[in-house]
Amino acid sequence: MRAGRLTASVAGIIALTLTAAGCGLSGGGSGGGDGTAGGCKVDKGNVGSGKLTGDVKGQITFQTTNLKKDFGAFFNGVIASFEKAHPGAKVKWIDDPGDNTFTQGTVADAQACTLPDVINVNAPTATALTKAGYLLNLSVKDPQVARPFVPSFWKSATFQDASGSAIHTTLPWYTGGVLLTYNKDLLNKAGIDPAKPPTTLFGLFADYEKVAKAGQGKFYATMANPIWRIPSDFDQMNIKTLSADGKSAVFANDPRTTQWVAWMAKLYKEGAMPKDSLSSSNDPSTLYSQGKVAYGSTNPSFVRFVKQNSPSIYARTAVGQQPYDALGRASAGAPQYISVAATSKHAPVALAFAEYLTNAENQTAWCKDPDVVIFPTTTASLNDPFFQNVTGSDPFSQARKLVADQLKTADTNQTNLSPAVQNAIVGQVQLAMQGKKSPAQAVKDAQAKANELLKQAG
Amino acid sequence: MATETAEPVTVPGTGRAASVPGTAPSRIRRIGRAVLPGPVPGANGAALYRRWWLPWLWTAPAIVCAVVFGVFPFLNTVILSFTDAKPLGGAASFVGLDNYTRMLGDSDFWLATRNSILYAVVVVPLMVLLPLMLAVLVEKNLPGIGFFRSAFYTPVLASSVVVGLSWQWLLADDGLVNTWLQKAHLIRSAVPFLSDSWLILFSAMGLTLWKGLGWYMIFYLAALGNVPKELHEAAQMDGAGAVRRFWHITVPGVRQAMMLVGTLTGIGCLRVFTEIFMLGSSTGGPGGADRTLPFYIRDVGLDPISGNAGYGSAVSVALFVLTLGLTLLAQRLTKEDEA
Amino acid sequence: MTTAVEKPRRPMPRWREYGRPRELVVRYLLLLLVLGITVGPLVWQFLASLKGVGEDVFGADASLLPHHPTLRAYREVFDQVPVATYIRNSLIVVVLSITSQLVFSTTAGYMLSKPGWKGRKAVWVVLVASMMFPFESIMVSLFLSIRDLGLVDNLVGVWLPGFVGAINVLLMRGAFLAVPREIEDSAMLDGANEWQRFRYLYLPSAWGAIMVVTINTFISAWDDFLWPLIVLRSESHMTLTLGLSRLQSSSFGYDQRVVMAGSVISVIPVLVLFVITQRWFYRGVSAGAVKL
Repeated sequence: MRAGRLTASVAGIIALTLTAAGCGLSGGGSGGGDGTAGGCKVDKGNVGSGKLTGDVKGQITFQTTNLKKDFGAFFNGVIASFEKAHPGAKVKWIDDPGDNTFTQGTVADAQACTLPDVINVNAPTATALTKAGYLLNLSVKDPQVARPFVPSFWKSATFQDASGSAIHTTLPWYTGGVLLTYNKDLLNKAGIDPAKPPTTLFGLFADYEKVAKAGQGKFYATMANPIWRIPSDFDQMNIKTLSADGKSAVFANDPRTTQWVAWMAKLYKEGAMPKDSLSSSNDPSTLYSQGKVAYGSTNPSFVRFVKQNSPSIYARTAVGQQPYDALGRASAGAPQYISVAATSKHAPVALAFAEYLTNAENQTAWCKDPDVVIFPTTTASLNDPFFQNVTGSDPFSQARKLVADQLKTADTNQTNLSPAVQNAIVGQVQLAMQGKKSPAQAVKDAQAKANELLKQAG
Repeated sequence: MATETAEPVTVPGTGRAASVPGTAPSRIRRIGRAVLPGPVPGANGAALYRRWWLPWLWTAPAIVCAVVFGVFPFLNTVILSFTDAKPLGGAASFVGLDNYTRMLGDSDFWLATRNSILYAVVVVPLMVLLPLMLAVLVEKNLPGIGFFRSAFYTPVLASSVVVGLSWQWLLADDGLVNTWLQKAHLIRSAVPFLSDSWLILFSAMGLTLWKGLGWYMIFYLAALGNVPKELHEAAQMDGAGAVRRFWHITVPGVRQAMMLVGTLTGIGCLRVFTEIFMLGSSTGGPGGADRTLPFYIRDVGLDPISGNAGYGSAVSVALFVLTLGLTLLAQRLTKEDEA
Repeated sequence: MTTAVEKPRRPMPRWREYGRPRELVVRYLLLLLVLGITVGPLVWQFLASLKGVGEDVFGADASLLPHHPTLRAYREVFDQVPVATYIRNSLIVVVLSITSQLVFSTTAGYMLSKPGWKGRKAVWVVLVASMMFPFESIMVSLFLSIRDLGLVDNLVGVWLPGFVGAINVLLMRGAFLAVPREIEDSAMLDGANEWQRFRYLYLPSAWGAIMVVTINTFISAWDDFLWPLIVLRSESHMTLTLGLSRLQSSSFGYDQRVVMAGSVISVIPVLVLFVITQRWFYRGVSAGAVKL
């Protein structure tokens, strides 16, 4: 009796839903004569071809990702001087606390057509927002915009729009750099010469194997989770992860992918990595600081972390150049970008501020902040004596010198995988490392799963 | 600092409601209807409200809240499940039942469904019983019991970041649990709590239980007051041990609270995401083998680059139907049990 | 937390009044066991937050007790983020939530416990269903509504979707259903109207359930992370959980001790509140007046 009534109520709800569904679909679409971007109504000047025109007047919002705590004074200074140079322009700074791959707030804002006018984005967020059309096409809206940046950087700092063509929706801002950090003592124990870092990834893997033999479970080479290496290792080996239009996965077509997975499986089996780090979100920082892992994180800021947290390990730490492998040059590490929202009501102000923030003068000033190990993306900043004449032999100074050298030729050519696709590939490699699948099978399955996700995204 | 509860146990309870004599069994039966919609016992005829809008006025805020912030957004989800909408705007077109047919043939979806159901099947019975035992343990007013009661509640308060860190530290290969087991010579090599997909799933269940123990203890403490003390005393005179009294007096007495806890835990278990994420990281265990339905919804539906909001919505609808179905099934089963 | 055992205020009862010695020993042993399991991680976190730079926080070698205890991490927390502002904002949301939840869940729960009006089953179905929607799937629509109401970056927007929860309504409904019918009948004979019966008869006898609702509301409002993250923008509006997550910026490496300290700071107010309220709460329990 009761169940019957309940079923009836549920049926009623479903009927209501279907009616609503009909209405929802027929009533869609947005009116208005202005342009649209990502389903939002925007000023016509913000989209299509043609330079952006208009007065630099009005209030804009500028959003960073978790920088206020450490760099509040710097950014307030930049904002004040911008407002002084442009009377009538005002900048409101907000700082999103999230530091995940995507900040949920940014995604929700995009959907609600309320993105901040100027946004600090990382590569995955830039990929998503460009694809959905939420960002201003900067090289169209200001033909002069490329001037200050290192040419190789600017050339590679593009993202694909919905049709798959690469456009400039971001200004390169700063980058962390990539290098090898290691514990000299542990390398010596394994019979590896710390002064001669390998030049290929498989060479590095061979060193890991030596560490495994010397460590015997007392210490390890690195962490097991392949998420730290996919797709950056593929990029460094010049293995194409995705097709040119980004709509399908092609990494399985390169035989070196299977070799790479076979190496990972072998290293895991032989104890080069802690067994419990296979699907752990912990990077090597903690274990490295305890002297239990020979190779630390590849982020130069890591050296500073070790210096602060475990002085005794810092004394044994050395840095080396990352293996250039088949790519033949450095990768820039996780670059950060500055974008302008296409939904901005004061796009001229937003664009002016974005360019002001990323100009050589402001970039150089921030990179000199003693609290950071970051690197600028403008030619003038990199030519600054601060980066060119690094003195001192401590690992911290060495790291700065190595990365500054890299950046003259480095680019931001990284493959931008969505987190879901990355996880799908990583998952299959984990199965191969556990011995549940052969490396060849895992690579094949990984490609199939990645393709399924890419297909559903259209 | 914890202060002792005011009434020592020797002072018999004199609560307002308890002072009104109602025979114990009928009272229990009445409690027995607490969460079920059904004829209210003792409904003396149709005392219809003369002003028909009065009940609606009293319930309006709750209805509005549930409809505006629950039902309507979910209807939107149901609509989306028939489209190929993307998480970040853009045009969506109607695709009929495509998302649902894809779901039926999607082995990852079924794996996530299995994990979610397994989670509920293992955790619900334990979560119904363990906090009850704990409540019985702290019910008696012993010296210092206030401190214990407060302390048992602390896992609810710990932030998930810290819980994640401390559980990893407990379960790592050189973690506390493995170290102790090795010292006790129970195992030789470390138990792979954090790298075996089954063990990750069970460890996550342990984490859920740990977090919920104190939370539901409170529910039970509130309900234990309904169990007539005379019954316990009488049974004790008859020589019934603590275990027998627990099963034959306490459990029937708080039956309704147990059903409530079971329902809430069941709904909670089908929504588990954080525990899996903390112990199995972003992939959801090696090869994604520990992903639950909410985890899968995030992967296929919410990813701003490769997500498909239409498909994610279809999985959300499936999750809702599963939740509803299991709840109804559980209620049906307990009813038969009663009969 | 130094005194594990406390004395009741009344004249000290003799130990044997609490039960047989053997039973008492077993009880306390069990209590201590559960204590270890439940508070262990929290104690570990507290001790770790006191550790100085250079002391291991994790791993087999890490000692439990800090060798050089220091409040440095706590100073760092207060230096890095405006904790007082965060706490104020959290309290605003908590007070709003508790007020609305208590008022509306008791009134709605009361009516739902009453027979004699059409539609109560439909209301019940809507409420139960609303508990079952996965938050992931309604998050975006929810945010759009809050935007349309102009409540983005506003604490009211954080509070609004939780102004009354279905689970609390059902809890209160259950508590009211358990109130013996006979009392109400006699109250009716005395000529008490609906409001008077609700206010003076039902509310006092649902004391335990009211406390459960209060505590649950407090915890969920205090602890919520994802929703405030989506709604709030300005630092001056951030709640404590949200604000403290800033301590964990992984891009430049972070100090785990500071994160631990932040977490301890966020737990303390709740713990204090709980220790205070549990006294009232359990008074109701020991009096046997609580219905669920």
